[in-house]
Amino acid sequence: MTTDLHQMTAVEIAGHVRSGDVRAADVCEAFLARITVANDTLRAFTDVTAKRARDRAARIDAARMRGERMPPLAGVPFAAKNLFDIQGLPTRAGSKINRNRAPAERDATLIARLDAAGGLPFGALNMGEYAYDFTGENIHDGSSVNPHDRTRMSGGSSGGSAAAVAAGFVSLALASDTNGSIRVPSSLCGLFGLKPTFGRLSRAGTFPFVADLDHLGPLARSAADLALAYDAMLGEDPADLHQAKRTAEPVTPVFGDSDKRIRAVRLGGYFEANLTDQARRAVTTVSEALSAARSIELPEAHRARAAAFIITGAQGAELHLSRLRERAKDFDPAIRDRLIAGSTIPAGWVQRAQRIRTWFRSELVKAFADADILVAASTPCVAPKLGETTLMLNGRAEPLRPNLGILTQPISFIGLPVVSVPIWFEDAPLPLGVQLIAPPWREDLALIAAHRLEKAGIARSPCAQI
Amino acid sequence: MTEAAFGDDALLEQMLKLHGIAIDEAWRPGILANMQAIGRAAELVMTMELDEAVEPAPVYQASAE
Repeated sequence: MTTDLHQMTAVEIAGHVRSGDVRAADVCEAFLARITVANDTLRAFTDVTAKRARDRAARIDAARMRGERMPPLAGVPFAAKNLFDIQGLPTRAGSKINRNRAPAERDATLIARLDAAGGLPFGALNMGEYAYDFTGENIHDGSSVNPHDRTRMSGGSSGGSAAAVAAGFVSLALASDTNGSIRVPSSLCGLFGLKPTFGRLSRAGTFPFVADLDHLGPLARSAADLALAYDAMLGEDPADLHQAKRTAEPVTPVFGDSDKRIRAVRLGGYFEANLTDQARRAVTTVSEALSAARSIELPEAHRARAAAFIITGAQGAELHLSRLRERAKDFDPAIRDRLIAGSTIPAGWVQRAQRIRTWFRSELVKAFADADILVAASTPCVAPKLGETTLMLNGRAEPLRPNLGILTQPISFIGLPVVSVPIWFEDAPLPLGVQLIAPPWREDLALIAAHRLEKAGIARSPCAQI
Repeated sequence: MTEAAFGDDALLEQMLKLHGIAIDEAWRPGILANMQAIGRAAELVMTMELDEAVEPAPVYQASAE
């Protein structure tokens, strides 16, 4: 059985460990072996905490032998984008500069919660520098590579998180999403990715990017795994000022609700205007499967994206100002140029962008008056070739980096929960994601819809061959 | 001058002095190109008609409780 462990979902692994069919130690070794074989090529991990994972696995196996009740994620390998604090490691956030930081004294809240739920902490994952990226490229650690085609991008900025799950190095990965950094790599690597509602999950113990837009969430190879991880991470955390004061609303109890009526609507206009044929086909497939007969346009989506761009530039620059003064040469040049440009943004533009955020949210409230799920592609295209700088859209050559996030940015701008589901056609060499966008605080609806698509065989996330 | 004209070398020079950031001259075209992209986004943001009653999204609370 151990040879097939990497093919299993987190739910299946936890079930086998719980029943005693498999030891957590065997799970741990099977996944560590895959990392040993292929991480040098895929560059998903920047630090593998093998001893910690083995120790955690041994404690789970010992607890089981004593007859103790097994926690929900018993024996499930997980890892986190290297902007999460991991006890004993400097939190590099994809940078050269942060390597000089003291090792973290404690884990980020979400890592501590997955560990407490029985997960095996496998370490830290590669990412675009300071999360200002959609490609997964990193000049300091080398770019993370798409496990399904090693000539192609993983997507970013959570590129290592996506590569690690797609390669079967771990079952779950934690990531962050400011403008699309969970959904873009989920799309390019063919994974399920959950960006929860803004303010839902604690951000304590993570290196920030844009305080007003940062979200954290999981990537996995099934919707049930997202739900399992999400529930384990819920809960109040006084250490996070931006966390909303809401009671935890676990999704597992309603996850398999086959009777739940979900009214899906397709997003047209801006969200249809710049798609490759495969992306349009993926949206059509998902829309038909969810009986989304209707299409609506979100007004001013292009201005919402522009407003997110302005807030990102200004807040990112302010965060990094001292590093730009003291160590500008140590940045990735592309990130440095963007941050310095951001430091010139007039305050009034930022304030106007924040007002547009309020206005755009009110427009979305109208859209959800008679819809539970809005459907849009996660990326306009499949994974581009490594090093590619342009993207062909409607016969026009557009700059690749910003446009990979053209469909995700307006949605995270107003903090809506989204599950990106992987659509991989039998006749297509690569997958592509579709966003299932739910009303605020209704992660359950997006996860139920994702699960239905998976059960119907429409969304699927096979593990890559390595 | 409109937002779309943002990305002026003189403005960059002033802001670099203000912030105390020293750059290599080879970086300048890349920074200016990014400023121009910001200017194009700002034009979309600043030309949108908004009722004055629409408040900025961030909400401060005097107590963290």
